[in-house]
Amino acid sequence: MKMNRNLYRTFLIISFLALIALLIIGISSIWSYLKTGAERGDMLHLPKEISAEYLPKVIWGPLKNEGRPMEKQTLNEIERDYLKAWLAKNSALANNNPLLLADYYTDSIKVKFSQLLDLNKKKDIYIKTTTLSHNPHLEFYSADGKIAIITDKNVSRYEETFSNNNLIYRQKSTATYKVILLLEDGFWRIRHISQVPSSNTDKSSNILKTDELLGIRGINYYPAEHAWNMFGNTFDEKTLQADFNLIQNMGLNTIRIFVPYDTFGKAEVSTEKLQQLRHTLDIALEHQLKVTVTLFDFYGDYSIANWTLTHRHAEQIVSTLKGHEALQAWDIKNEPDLDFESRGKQKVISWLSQMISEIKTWDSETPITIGWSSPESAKNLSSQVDFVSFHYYQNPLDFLDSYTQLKKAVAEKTIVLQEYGFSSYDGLWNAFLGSEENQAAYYKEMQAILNTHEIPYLFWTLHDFETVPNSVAGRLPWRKTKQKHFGILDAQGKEKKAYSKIVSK
Amino acid sequence: MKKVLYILVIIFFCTCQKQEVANAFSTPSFELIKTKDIYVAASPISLKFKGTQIAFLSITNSLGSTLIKPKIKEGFLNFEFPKTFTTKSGLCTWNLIYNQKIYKKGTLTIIPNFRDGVKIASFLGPRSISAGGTDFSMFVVSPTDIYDNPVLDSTIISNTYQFGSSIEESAVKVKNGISWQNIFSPTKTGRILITASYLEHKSKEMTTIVYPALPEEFKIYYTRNHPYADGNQVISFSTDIIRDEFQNIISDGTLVTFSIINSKGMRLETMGTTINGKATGQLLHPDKAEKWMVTAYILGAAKSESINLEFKPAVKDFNITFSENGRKIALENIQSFMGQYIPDGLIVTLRLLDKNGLVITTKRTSTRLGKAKFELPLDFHPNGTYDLSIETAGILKKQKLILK
Repeated sequence: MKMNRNLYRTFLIISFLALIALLIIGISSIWSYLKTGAERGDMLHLPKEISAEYLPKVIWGPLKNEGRPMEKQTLNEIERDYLKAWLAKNSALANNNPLLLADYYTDSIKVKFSQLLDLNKKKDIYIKTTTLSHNPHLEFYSADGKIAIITDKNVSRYEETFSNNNLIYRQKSTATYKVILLLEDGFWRIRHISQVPSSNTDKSSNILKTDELLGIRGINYYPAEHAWNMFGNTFDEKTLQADFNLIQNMGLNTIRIFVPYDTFGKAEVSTEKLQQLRHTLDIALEHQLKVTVTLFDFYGDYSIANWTLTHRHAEQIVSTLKGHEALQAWDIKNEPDLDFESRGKQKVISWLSQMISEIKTWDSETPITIGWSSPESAKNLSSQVDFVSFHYYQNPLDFLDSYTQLKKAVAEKTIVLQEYGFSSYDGLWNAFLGSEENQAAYYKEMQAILNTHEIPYLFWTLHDFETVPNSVAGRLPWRKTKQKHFGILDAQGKEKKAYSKIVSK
Repeated sequence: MKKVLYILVIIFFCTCQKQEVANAFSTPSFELIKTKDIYVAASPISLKFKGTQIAFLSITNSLGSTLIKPKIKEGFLNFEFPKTFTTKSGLCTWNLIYNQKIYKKGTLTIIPNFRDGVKIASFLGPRSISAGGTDFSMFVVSPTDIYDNPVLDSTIISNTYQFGSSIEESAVKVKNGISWQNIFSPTKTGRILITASYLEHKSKEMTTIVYPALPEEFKIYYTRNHPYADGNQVISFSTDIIRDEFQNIISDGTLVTFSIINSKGMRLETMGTTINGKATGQLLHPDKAEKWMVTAYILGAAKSESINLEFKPAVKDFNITFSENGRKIALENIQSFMGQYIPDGLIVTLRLLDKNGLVITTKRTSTRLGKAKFELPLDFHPNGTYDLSIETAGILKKQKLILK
């Protein structure tokens, strides 16, 4: 009887709680439904800033136009409206919506666009496309300043065509356009655009010689206090001086550092951080260290719509550091193969491939690589990079096999073991399986292999870290804690047992 | 046993079919049946390939891209281009796609089609220019076919323009899809009418107005009722007909500023706008004898010769009378040049100075019926001896004044 009553009570309380919960959910979903809809600001129908989504590289040819001499102000306006026209066209093709073309095309050409978009809509085709670079040459500017003609040479485009939501194909191409623009209502609108034959400028990507990279003996570097966060307010020159001195004394000649995409300011790179990055290279040079700069750390959106933004980001960094004596290589991205699953392999590969050719145009002297997370994925794009980099955290016994396989696949390219290491963490989370002794044994084994086969290496890492951001190893404590103990120096800066296995005294 | 046999047979067929399919995927081959490279806009375009797999054809022009599915017939794939693409001139690139790979690619050229009709868009600007042959309007002509494709370069467009009795024609080559010509102004003012034609098709009429060039130096005159400085009559200045260097009368409404420097070096100004090349400006006579130097300007463009004129004094003399206590002062009998009362409103100024020559009071009043009066109340001016000066129409009188 008593038992029954307790059951009864429990049932009552639980059903009461459930009822309340349902009520709250119900009310909140009605509330949020009522809150959906247009923003009040949408009434103004303000144009978006172009830099927010689309920043292709634009290089004007010398102004040798017929008609009236061009004013700088007007040229800027033409460029602004012309690029917006491309942006409008790209989004119209992606959505099959001719309304997006308003303001940047004259009525008569909009009619033709509408026919094309209707056709695609009917066939359920849509096209995701972007242009990466424009080389407009002004051909003509009328005396009253209302007509301008430009030839946009070798516009490089990237497009993906979808039918019934299936990707049919993707293509990178270049095309030259002749464009007649009219000044109407304060907008430079496209009146005619037609594709004309391009003068052939096939950029043959010259693969650089990378023999000197064979001598790399290096380290992946973060300061102990500010792991994954070494620029900005946390930039500390003294620490760098001390650490680089240490690294130099260890007999190493290379460091690899990371440039985070978001915190460096995305398309508008912070000059302060750029200065700090440059300064880091200066300090490295003082200690006779070469630097591999890894770009796009923590970048994860490879969508075509913001390709051009990432190009502007890279351009600013590459053109600032290019030619620096300490600069060894551009590593486009750390472990991009980890994004294959979530973002789609092709999408990531296309982005990387385009980024390689973009960086080549800004800096043709510095070798380019990609820091793949495993020897298997390092086969990707191996023909485009100047040298192949991979990371290895598996059993040292299998290392040589994987390495030989990769070597076969990439033929004559230099291969760099860009990351490897062992956590000395010994505790609950790994069932007390790691230890400083194990770490030392790992390095002893690895160094023996690397030295006999003369494989260039950069190990992970100098210090143990007190804090590791969630974005690096996730929230799970057994991963995060492990990540803290990869250093060959402990958190107090004392040498661990592995130290002696690496440092050649 | 029989069942087992059946199953085996079925499995065998299944694997056979699968192999066929696999083969089909591994070695697709397509062969383009060669056709033209250049098409006239709006003529049908189709590409034919020999092949068995169903491939897509992606076509791209300057507007965008689309995909076409083939019609399959006897081992051939036939792709018909949609009208949107056949009517747009320029390059049209195509890619034959099978299984996300490009197997064949090529480019077609589509040229504008002027057999079906011509549309001529013309632009003229600036629409007003100044005479003399240095200023010009630019005439831009952009002929298109009825599918809105601009003409090919090196096409000849003929422009016709009329001014006065002359009608001239000229032939201009198209470059970058347009033809352009600068129409320089004649030396006479008027309108230039311009039109263009291509293949018997005409554009609409465009007009540019030729305005006179900058005015040349001009002369000015004055007229006045009498030469006396009575502060009442109006003197008017006028210009002769102002012309530019080509003898065109300058545009109506041009602002002429008459600038006057008087005997004291002060500057007076009056303005007028031109009608039929003439402008007039007016000014009141001064109230005392003066010499004026007058120059007229059209700002930033031209000026006149200067003229000099003189005003004679209108008032020769006047009497001052005082009341007994010296506090009421009257000017009487202020006569003008014919002995008539000076017209009302002439300014009279009284100054009262103390013994040290410091001005204590300045009073102004104007005449009425040839008289002017002042009063110096006790509250402000204690009894004593003062120096008094009274001035009107350029005549200054001074004397001692004793206030009681």
